[in-house]
Amino acid sequence: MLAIIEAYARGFLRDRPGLALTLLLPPLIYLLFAAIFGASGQGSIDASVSFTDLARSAASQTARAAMRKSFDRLSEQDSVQAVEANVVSGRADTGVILRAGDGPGLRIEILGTGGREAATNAVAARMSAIHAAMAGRAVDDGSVQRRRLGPAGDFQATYYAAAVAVMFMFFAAVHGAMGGLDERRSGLQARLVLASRGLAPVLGARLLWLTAVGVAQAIIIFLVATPDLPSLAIWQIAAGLLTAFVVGLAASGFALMVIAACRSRDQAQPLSTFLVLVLAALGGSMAPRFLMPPAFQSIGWLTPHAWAIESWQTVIWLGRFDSDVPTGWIVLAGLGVVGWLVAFVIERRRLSG
Amino acid sequence: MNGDPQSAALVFSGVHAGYGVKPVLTGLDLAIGAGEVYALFGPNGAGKSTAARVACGLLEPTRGEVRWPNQGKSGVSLSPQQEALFQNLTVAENLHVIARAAGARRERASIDVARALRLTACETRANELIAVLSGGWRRRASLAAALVGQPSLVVADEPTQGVDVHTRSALANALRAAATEGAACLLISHDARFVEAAADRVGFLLSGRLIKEGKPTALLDEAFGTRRTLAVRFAETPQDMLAKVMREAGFFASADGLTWRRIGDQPFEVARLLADAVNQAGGELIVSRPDLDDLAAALHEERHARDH
Repeated sequence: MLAIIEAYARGFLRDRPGLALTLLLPPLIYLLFAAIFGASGQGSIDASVSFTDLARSAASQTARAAMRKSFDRLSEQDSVQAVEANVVSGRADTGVILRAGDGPGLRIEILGTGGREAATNAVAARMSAIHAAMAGRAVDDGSVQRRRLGPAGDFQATYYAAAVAVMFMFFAAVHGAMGGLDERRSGLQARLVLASRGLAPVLGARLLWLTAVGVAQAIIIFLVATPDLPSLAIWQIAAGLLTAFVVGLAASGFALMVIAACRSRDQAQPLSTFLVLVLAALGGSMAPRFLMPPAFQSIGWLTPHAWAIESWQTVIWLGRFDSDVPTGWIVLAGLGVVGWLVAFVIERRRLSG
Repeated sequence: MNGDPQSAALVFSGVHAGYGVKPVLTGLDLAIGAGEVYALFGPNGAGKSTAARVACGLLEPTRGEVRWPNQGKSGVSLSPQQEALFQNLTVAENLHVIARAAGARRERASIDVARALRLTACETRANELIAVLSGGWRRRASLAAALVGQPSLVVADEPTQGVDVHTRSALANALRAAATEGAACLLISHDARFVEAAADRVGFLLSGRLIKEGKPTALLDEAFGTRRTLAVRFAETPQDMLAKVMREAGFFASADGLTWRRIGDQPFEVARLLADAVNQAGGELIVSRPDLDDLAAALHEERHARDH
């Protein structure tokens, strides 16, 4: 198996244009995504808002009524701590604290995390508009203030590093797996199967090689994102790498399964591109899932992309290792193994028929 | 060599095989001895490549039995119809991959690779990338990859597709050399000249079963004796009068009507009689020994006549 992996590696390193496209394009796309989505927020974003009313006044009642009209996804909490917990955990995009101000007015505090500027900006803009309507004029007296929660790093940088990494790992895996079609057609697969005395070592080598390429892509993207990431402990780096490995495994298993089901490149190209794009869109690689309607947020959990992004965010940005992380690893590794097994069954049938 | 099942490297006993419900092999009996080059010869669809897949253990017989008495299935190697090599690796690197995939350690693999390069006379191209080699050298490299690790059975599927005379000769020499060192070689080929040069025995396959087998020269002598092939080639279809004369002289036309062949006695006398007319029509006359293509055609006609 090692000999076959070595052959793939040599061929990969000698294909300089292919090497550059595989390893340099993903960080470029990451930089592009981060630049686009790091821009200031738009008022039309449908952000989820968690709020608490500490003022309990006539003014706050008016503000609450206006908020109900302005935000579709609004949840009221009993305390500031509950709102903060919701925002940090990602259950809400933004928090709003209504405090009693001078006289009959209000002081409004907008809570956001490092990477959700788009949502925070949108909520802040709407709350300023509500405050201005209540005052009967535009006010800029510091009554609407923002407070950032969570680690010092940029939530968004972590998000898009993860989102772009998983998307490109899947793209690279399906394109790499298409080499298997050529090996099947030329007879190289049959030759390797005879030499290795079985299909398992040949497909196993392909799985591990594609996983290795995926891990390399993830490492490069996160290295480019490093200036915007929080400072990482050793365990976070290790957990991030392990996440990269299981994401690579998932991408490789999925790719081998899809390509095994195809008879030609003409079938494999459009099918794999369609599937990878759909997974990327639903899984949050193209736009953050917290900006999606609730139904799509739920559907997103059916994609490996959502699990990958969530696992990376939890260990790298939140700096936590809760039960969601190993669950994500199991889901991703499981997809890799199941994909490989399906590919094995299909390829074995093709080889003998 | 011999087809004695006692010393055979590959034995087919009444093998039926095919794809889905379509039977391709319909009771194939075959035995190939160690050190023997055995060629399967036959028209398209006769079952040659299916027999190769069964011989490699890639396709299970639906009936009958296939055995590899020497080293079992693990001693089988394949040179597929296409090059089947890593394009961005050199010839030697490709051979190393095959050797190490088969379980050889680096030193042992180097010895195996050197041997395969020597057998195929590929030493001078060992360090060139497959992607930059000509078609002929790629075919040699592909056969070399099948000879790595001293397999007990080498299955070579159409190794001479698209190669020149020089490469064909080199490939025949390589198979002969591998057989001399003890390998059994199953050669699948359409190439009559190559089979005559390389094979100890040839089996004619038709509709999934052997209809004739033996040494090429013996089979040709038995079938044709002193008769010779007289071929007439035209640049354009001959006029009706000449065509009629040639038919009466026992010639058969090819599908395009440009090549006419007659297998019989006194070829030179017939050629002399036709010489002027053929010359005026811009044709050429060629006298040669009948080859395996002629024998295959004769066997096919014989089978066709018997069936109808």
